[in-house]
Amino acid sequence: MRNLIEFLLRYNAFFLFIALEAFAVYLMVNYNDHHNKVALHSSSVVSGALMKRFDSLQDYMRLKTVNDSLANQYNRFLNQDTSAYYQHRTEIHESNDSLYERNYSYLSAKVINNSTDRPNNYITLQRGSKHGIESNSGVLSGDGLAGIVLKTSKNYAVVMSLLHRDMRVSAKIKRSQHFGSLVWRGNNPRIMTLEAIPKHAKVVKGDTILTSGYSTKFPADLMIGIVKETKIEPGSSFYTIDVELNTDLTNIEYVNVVKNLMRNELLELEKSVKNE
Amino acid sequence: MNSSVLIANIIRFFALVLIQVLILKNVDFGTYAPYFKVFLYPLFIFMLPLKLPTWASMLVALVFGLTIDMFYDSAGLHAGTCVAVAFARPMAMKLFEPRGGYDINQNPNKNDLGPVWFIQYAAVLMLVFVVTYFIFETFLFEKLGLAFIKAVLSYIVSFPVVLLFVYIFNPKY
Repeated sequence: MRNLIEFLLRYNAFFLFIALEAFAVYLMVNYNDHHNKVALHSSSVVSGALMKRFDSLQDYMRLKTVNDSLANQYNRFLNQDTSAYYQHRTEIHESNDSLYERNYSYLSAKVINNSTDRPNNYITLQRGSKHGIESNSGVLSGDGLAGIVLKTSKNYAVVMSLLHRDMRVSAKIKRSQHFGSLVWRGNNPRIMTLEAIPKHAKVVKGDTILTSGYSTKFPADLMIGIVKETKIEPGSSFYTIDVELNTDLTNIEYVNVVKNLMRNELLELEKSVKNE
Repeated sequence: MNSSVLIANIIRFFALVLIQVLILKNVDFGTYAPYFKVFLYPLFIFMLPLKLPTWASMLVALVFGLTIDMFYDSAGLHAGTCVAVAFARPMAMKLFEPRGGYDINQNPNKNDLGPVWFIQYAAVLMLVFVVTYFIFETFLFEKLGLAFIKAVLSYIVSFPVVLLFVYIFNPKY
């Protein structure tokens, strides 16, 4: 303490000089516009840099809270997003013409589940009985067939994919109009087998295969695929034809469900004949 | 300190303030006005008694500077500069100390210590004055170069005025 006082006394002029200059600068900054502005500017530069550092530190400390609130917000947006809701709106374009009576109507549906790698594959659609889908309706993909509706609930429908062991689609060869039955043998999702084409029919590689229209499920003359390979198994009187499907069922997103408006009439008629 | 020295300094205080604010303040350099400023009043600090302690001369310089500031409407600017000059004064005295030191009766004027001593002494303190003044005036470290240019130009016009004053009035105390 004594040393300090001695030190201060010894350099009294210097300390007084500092004090007086501080006073003078104080006056300058407080009573002169220019000095005031400069001082404010400099202090804002210094304090600004300091505040920035401090602020980034605070931001870091707050990360946990911010994360939590962001997670909550994300959850809220997710719940508000249309993907969380079931779309009830359907659009079917009608044309009224007395020469033609509508036989089929098509209903677009989004695929929400699909499999292609199992022995029996199914497709689930985001449309159901509420939208007029009935079981045993055909389902078309963009450039070919997709399957047959198996079962419907209010909002959903399960479709038996073409890639199902029990699948039978009536198909014909475009060139010769011979018809047979298309089945899947369970290995390649692009290849189906056309059976029951008689031996005498002329089938060559590249022939087009169309739907026959012999069922109530699909309209006639829809493209199914092309002949890839033909063979006749020993002792058989029918061809076994490998058909390459026009559609790739592994990446379908939207399908159209076929609704046959005259189906009941047809079925009743056929039934009455059988009953006689 | 005898009374004649005190009276001489009091008279010099008011005389230099009046000359500075009534005459030199109004010297107009037109567009170059910011670069040329004529300062005579620091002479008062130069000529304070040699034996006056530094703390006392700094306080006197502060009051003197504040008086000038009142007329220049620049609170603290001249006061701070005057304090700096008062602080530098003992160093300048030490720098030009004659062989055998200063006599107790000597006053810092050209009669007691000789014209060469006085001119050297005043030249150094005047330099301290202008440099300090323009640093304070600019106040921005970015513009220190400009401050030094102004200081040199003002020094060129101010120092001859100081010498002129000393040679005309030839103050004894």
